[in-house]
Amino acid sequence: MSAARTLRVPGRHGYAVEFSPYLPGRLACAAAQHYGIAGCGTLLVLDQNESGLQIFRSFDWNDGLFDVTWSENNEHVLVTCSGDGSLQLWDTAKATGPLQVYKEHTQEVYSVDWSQTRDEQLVVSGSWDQTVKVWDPTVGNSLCTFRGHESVIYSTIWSPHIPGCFASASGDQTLRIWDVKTTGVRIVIPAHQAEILSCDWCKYNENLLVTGAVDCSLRGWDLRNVRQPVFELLGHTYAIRRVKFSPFHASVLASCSYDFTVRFWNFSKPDPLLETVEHHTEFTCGLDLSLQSPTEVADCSWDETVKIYNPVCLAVPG
Amino acid sequence: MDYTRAGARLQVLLGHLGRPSALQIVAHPVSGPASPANFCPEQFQYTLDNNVLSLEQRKFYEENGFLVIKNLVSDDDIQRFRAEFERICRKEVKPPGMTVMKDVAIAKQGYAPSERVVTKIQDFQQNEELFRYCALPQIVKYVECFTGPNIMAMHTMLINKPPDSGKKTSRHPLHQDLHFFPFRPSNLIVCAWTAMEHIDRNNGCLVVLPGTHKGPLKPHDYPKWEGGVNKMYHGIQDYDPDSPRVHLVMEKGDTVFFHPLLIHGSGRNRTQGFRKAISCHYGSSDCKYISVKGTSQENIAREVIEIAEKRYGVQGALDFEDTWKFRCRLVKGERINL
Repeated sequence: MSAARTLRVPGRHGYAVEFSPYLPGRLACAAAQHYGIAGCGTLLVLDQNESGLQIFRSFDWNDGLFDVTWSENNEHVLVTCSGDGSLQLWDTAKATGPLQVYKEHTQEVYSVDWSQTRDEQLVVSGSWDQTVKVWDPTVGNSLCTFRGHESVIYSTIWSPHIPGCFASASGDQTLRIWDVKTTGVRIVIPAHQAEILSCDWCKYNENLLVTGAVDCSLRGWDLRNVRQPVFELLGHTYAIRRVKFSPFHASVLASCSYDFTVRFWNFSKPDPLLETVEHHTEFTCGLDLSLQSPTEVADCSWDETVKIYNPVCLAVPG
Repeated sequence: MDYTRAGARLQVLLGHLGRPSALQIVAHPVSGPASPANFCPEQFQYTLDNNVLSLEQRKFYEENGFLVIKNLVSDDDIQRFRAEFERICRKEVKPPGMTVMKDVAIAKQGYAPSERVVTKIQDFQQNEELFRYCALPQIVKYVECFTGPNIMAMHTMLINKPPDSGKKTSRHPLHQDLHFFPFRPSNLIVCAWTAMEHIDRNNGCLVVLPGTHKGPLKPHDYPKWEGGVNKMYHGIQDYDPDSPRVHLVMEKGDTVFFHPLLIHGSGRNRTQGFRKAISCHYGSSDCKYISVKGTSQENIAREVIEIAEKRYGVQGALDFEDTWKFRCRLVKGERINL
């Protein structure tokens, strides 16, 4: 692996990082003061250039920011979510913000995701108030609220294949699949015997998802038969905070953890662990794989750093 | 920002650090006495590893959400529980915190205090004779398969289903017990329900919808039944009437263990005798209280708070969680969160 490009952000603990779907080398990081327990938050918009990682824009918010998602119809627009229960819409072309604040959740919002299917421009948010809300960013109120989870919701992710379909992961130990066109849950999967902090959809198989949980395991789920996971990946030594499928390889995924590591996996291999990256010194909470480069990865950690690098295992797929 | 939220966030994060790892597959020498459960490739979600349940029993509970154990409670113990119930009906015994409930139809006829009027006793945890049921070793050893070693008695009932007065109020609508419970996760909660006599469809046995423990908690409220329905008998608002159901015919002493999300109810008592059962909902003391505000459980929480405020004489100071902390009692191990 070549040396990681690192940006240190003193006093801000990274919770989420996401590559721009439009501008190569641009990424966003949602961060919080005091490890997100108390204090304010900052959205960092970063540019990568020949001299490393630079701050292009920085926006402050009065509570911790826990997740970030880029707009799919405007290269300058992002949405973040925060500990005070609100979502914020930002425009990087303007020096101050936010453009709009969406305040309906009654507790921390830990997850926000902009739909990639382009049939509609919708944002989904998951909250510790046990509800999921779907928003049209041009409207101030949520379009719909989804109830059913019995504990805090940690992750809500749109299907990249099926418009209006999203998954949610929760402390109630279930992964749920929802359809915006119906108000009820469509599938409930008791995926772990522990809180589930993260989930993601495979980019090449519309029926496949992965969950990452407090029990240190990743499990793959085929929605056509949820009785058993289709794979289980062990090796992390603390809770898995985020998991992402590769945009380029159907069976490759990456996960980051409270064990400070980022691990890369190929679930179709007999020995699925491809590489363990140990370049952080605190809980590692944010992780994303680039859409423009098959080998580029970004992560962020509570050690106040954001890093971009190219792990060896992604250079030689298979 | 709200500094009470800081404590909540810290607690959530600490919860992420406290869980054991996913079970590793452990190899056993082929000549050794290996537990067959370790060789089962299935994922167990509703039961914990144990030395009590056979593999078949464990699979049955995982698939169906309930498990009947025959002849678990002795006739002698049941007779003692019946005698204590009769003393309670005659008001000779009044333990704190207990609720005595009367049938909505019979209460209107003004009977004198006796077994004939009482349909149910709830929250008898402070009655030492009845609490003995919760702590029976042969029951607790099964409970530990679902809750783990730290066991709280959360909710107790002695049900005395009266002969139906013709108004069908002795039916209990289909419901999920988790509707009544503001603590999670649901997989660390189990009910033990023991028949105190022969129970079948004539006198109103339990009816269960197998496998519904895998589904979500559904909204509950009073069903629109002609003739009325008893206090707090909330039922599921929408369920598929064609779902397969199983009627649990049980002999005296038989005990069924079931998951709090299992949809179940009981039919009316068409006989002239009373039908008795005793039950306890156990939760692991590792479970945590949740806020039910804004959820489908808010209606039952409001009702429970009203009842508790009348009993304890306080107004507006209680929340749903307080009503639970007053009542629950440690059965085994350590009291942690509940």
